[in-house]
Amino acid sequence: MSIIEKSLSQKEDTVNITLKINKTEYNLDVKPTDTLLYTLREVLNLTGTKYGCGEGECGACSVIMDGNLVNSCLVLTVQADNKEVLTIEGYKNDELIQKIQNAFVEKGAVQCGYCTPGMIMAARYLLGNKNSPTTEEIKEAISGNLCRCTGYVKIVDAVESITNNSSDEQ
Amino acid sequence: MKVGAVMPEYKYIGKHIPRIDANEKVTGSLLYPSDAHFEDQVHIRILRSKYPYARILSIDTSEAEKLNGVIKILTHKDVPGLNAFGIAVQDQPVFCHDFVRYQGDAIAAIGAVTESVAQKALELIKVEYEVLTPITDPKFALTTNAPKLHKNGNILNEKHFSKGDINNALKESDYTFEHDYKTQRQEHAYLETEAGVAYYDEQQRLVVHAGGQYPHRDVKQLSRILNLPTEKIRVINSPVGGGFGGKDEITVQAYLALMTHLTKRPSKIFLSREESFISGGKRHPVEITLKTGVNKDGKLTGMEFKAISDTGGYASLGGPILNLTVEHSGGVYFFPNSSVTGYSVYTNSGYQVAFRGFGVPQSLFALETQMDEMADTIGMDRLEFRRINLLKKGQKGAIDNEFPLSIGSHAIVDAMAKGEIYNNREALKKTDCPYRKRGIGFSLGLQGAGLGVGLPDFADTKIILEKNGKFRFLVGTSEMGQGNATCFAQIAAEQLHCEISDIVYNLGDTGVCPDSGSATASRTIYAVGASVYYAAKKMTELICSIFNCTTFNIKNGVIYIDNTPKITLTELASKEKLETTGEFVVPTATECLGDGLPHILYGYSGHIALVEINTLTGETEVLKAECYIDAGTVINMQGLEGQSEGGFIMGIGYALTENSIVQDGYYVNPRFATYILPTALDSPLDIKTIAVDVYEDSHPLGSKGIGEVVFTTVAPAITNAITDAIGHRFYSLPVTPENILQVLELQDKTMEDSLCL
Amino acid sequence: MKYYSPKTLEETVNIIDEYKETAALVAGCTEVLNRNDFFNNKKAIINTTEIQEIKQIEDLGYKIRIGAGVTFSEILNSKIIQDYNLALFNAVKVFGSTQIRNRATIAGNIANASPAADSLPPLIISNATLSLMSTQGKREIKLKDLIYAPGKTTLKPHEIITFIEFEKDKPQEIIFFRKIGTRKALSIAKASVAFKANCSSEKLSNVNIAYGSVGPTVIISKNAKKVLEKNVFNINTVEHASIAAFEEVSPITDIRSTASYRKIIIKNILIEELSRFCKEKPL
Repeated sequence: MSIIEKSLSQKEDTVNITLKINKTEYNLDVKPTDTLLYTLREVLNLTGTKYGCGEGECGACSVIMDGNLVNSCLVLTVQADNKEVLTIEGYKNDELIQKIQNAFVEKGAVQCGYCTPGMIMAARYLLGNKNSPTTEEIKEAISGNLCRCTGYVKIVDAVESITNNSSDEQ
Repeated sequence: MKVGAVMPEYKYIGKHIPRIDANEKVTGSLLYPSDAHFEDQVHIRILRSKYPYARILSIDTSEAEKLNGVIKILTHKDVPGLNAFGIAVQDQPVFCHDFVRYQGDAIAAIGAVTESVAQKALELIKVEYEVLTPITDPKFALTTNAPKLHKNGNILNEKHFSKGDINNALKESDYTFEHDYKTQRQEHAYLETEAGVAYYDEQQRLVVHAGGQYPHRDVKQLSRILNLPTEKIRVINSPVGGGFGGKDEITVQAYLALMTHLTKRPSKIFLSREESFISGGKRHPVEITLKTGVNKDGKLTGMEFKAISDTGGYASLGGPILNLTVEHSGGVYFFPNSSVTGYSVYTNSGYQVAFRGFGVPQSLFALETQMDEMADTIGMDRLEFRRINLLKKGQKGAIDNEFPLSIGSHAIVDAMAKGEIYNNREALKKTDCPYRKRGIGFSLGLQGAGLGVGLPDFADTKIILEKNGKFRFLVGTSEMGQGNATCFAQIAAEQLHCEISDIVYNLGDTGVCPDSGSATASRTIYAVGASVYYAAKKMTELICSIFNCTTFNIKNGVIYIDNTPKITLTELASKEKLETTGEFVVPTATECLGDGLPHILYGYSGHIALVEINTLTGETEVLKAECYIDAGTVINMQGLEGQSEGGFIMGIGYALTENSIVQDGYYVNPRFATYILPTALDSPLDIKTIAVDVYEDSHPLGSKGIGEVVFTTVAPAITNAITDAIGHRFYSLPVTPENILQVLELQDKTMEDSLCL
Repeated sequence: MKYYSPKTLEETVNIIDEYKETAALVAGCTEVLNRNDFFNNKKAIINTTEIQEIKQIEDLGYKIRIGAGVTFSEILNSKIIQDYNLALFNAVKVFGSTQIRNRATIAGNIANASPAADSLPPLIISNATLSLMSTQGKREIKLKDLIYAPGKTTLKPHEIITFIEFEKDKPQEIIFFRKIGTRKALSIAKASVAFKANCSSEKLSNVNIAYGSVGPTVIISKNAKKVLEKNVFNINTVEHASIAAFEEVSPITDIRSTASYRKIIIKNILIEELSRFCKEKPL
């Protein structure tokens, strides 16, 4: 943050919180009205989580907070105090995310790629809770994530290819 | 899946090669323009018009200037050069000074230390307006009573063509049909809104990094606005989080360039979704009157077509878009007689720009709907009726234009007739429930590729062997998700006899890339792909001449000649400076009928959709689809399928749910909550993509572009399927459950019919 | 702007009392962060997501109690709800998206008082009551008496919802919830119907029907209910009841849909859903 930015924000009350993002702890002073999406992107420079609409209608900002898939644009950063947050950048320590990433690449589930981090988090949430989802359950799991490029078919294919039902695994 | 034909043995062309940029995307490490930022950047917000049409009496920024944290406020007074932009016609002000002509028109740019300060400053700027009555009806805009929105009046473009004797032809026909059709305003809805940064590079060039579709042309526009020589400006427009034509025109580039130029600081802008909806361009809503004649034997006799295309407040590409609306009015059919008229009209209803299909989906919706009606009236099979009227080589189109290059419609109809849906249509349509009705619909179409005659349409590519032993290709077009970067790598690797991993690239950077033209008009695989081919071929020839051989092979970074390792790529690079360029000029018609008219290269498509209607709620579900695409030689089948599936779902939206409504000049639903895009639950998974067997001789590999045809024919296939299910034809888009249920209630279904027991 | 994240209800009402109308109460934020002006003129944000007392779903034997802070996902994953309030379970299934359900709370949905709130019709047909609390004390009201206009509730100043209680589904009941939205996910209802009735004899009894999105607040059926309770349950009766339903709702035309469409689908939802339970074939 620039010097001017800092001095302006000191005029408004900030709250000191601890964010645990991808197993790293950050001690931050944030405004109570800041959203988690804003803090991730603008303060922590974790730009993998995307802004698509700011109103929970597209899922591009999806992260997993305390085990729940949420739209980070609708979470106040203060509400994430002391919670475990998993973003796309957390793939380095997450084997399941890596499996999903490989499947996305192999199955052609990535075109412009802007919805991709959110989609991968949605898939991570599903497969973290269910290792053999049906096709319908996969569609349901990503139905909060909009994609304008792929038509969803290959995204579903990619998730399906790594479920326990798939023949790819054998 | 290819339908027949023997292809040369390729290593990469037509093979399964995963996208080369996918890894950065799945890790979230790829930086889009909206991700770029600088420590001391100036945050930009734009003050936009409150009204769709008004005279500006005064702009007072004094209060806003005093706000702590405001760095600079720009208005029309601060524009050093031309205060206007527009790809074809520069009639859109960078900052309005006398009139505002649509709700999103820009009046000022605020640069501040944070976005929230910029927002506060925005609210302090006082603009005095004389509010005027907006023109919302393009038909009214055509009359002499309507105020002139631009100095040359309200008609941006007007076209009239005729062939043969339409009046006589219709008089002599066994049957004539006439209907009015209406299509809606569609929003691109790219997931990444308009965004970017501007800064000075080491060579003191003003760099604008914002998603776009033709960086060299953006440089020209910015050079006019800033009154700077083009060498002083560099545009980087790749990667892009979706474009679809909506980022072809400049969007935020001028504000970034001006702010950085005038403050000498880096600047950033990132539009909110709502602002993107309101300020961004949309697909042209078009009203079409279509009169056609047909004889009992099924042969079309003539067509009279009139289109009024609402281009909104400014031109952008409204003129060429009307040209294609008119050019494609006859679709893939031969009409011996025709009269084709089109108007592109200014109104104060939003602002319309290029969008995948570029004026063609509107024409095809009208034509393909009427083709079904004609087939049904004369009692002929709908596919057969289309087949016997297909335009053949040598015959002329609706605007008396020729089709000298490959025509894919015949192969498509052949493939459709052999396909699963057509051959099982009765079985597929059965339901065991009286209030679930199914229908199958067809459509055929084409899309002119390239810019057409009269406009410079070329592509240059450069290939360099770098010191680290990699071949780098440099191409001016951006990767917006279409997958062209991967296809270029495949084309290059094939020609260079190397591995995909030997290829690296730069896209969309005027600082280093040559001018490859725009990423539009279904031209990137065709024109740019060809220039990549030629650049790679020259490189191969260069290497052969160095080693006096006829061919070679590259494996693990080593050049093998006659299976003997000769030299590593890094060694070769240290000895020789290897750099080649490839050029390709898109072939055009010999006679020009207007800017970009006509094309001679067309891609073709055909769609078949199976739908199910719940007759109690009017809801339509698309169950199954077959997408027949004429791509010429397919470079990457997975890429083609991906585009085809995406285009199909975008077509579902266009057919059934999407409508950007402007009432009295105001956007009514500028949010994803109220602009209804299909989610995964609204999209069928059973979508088969069939690439038909066509070879385009004018291309070194026989390929054609498909970015638009995958979408253009989808909507009428779906609406024709709805008609097949419930027996009522619809003449406007979208066809909503409300429209369907209204019809069904009028059809007076009794309760006993609608119960399922 | 100050921020509080109280751990108990007692703390919460005390803080609200301190700030009064300058207090911004938040839970899942799925509604309030869509409004540009939610934090205008507010001096304190009070986060309710850490109040443990209101996070349970309890089977109290004769009724079920849901804490105000229970999320829609927790409701969807609850066997108690699946077993004892099928209409609510089915309403939650089609609400928003996974991301929204993981955050949106039952009390948030109720207090927001939208005419299209999906949880209201199923709760109303199960005779839901709300427990309310402020520094002035506690009280209970029937959910059907809470909302009197779009976005307007009879909550007293600085009063919060703490618990929602409702009657369990009973054996031999026809129960359904059906929503017609703008699409299959992330969709606001154009119209919805929650229905519950005892079907142990040839006439339905204890019929409870609530219609959503077709009036300024949820509409509780009087006439369709009467038709079903007074006549033998068959196709004819269903038809008459559906026409009565058509007539007793008063939807508007808005950005999402038309008044006439909404009336027709209310009628047709009853036909489609109830006809499944009719034993005879059509005439």
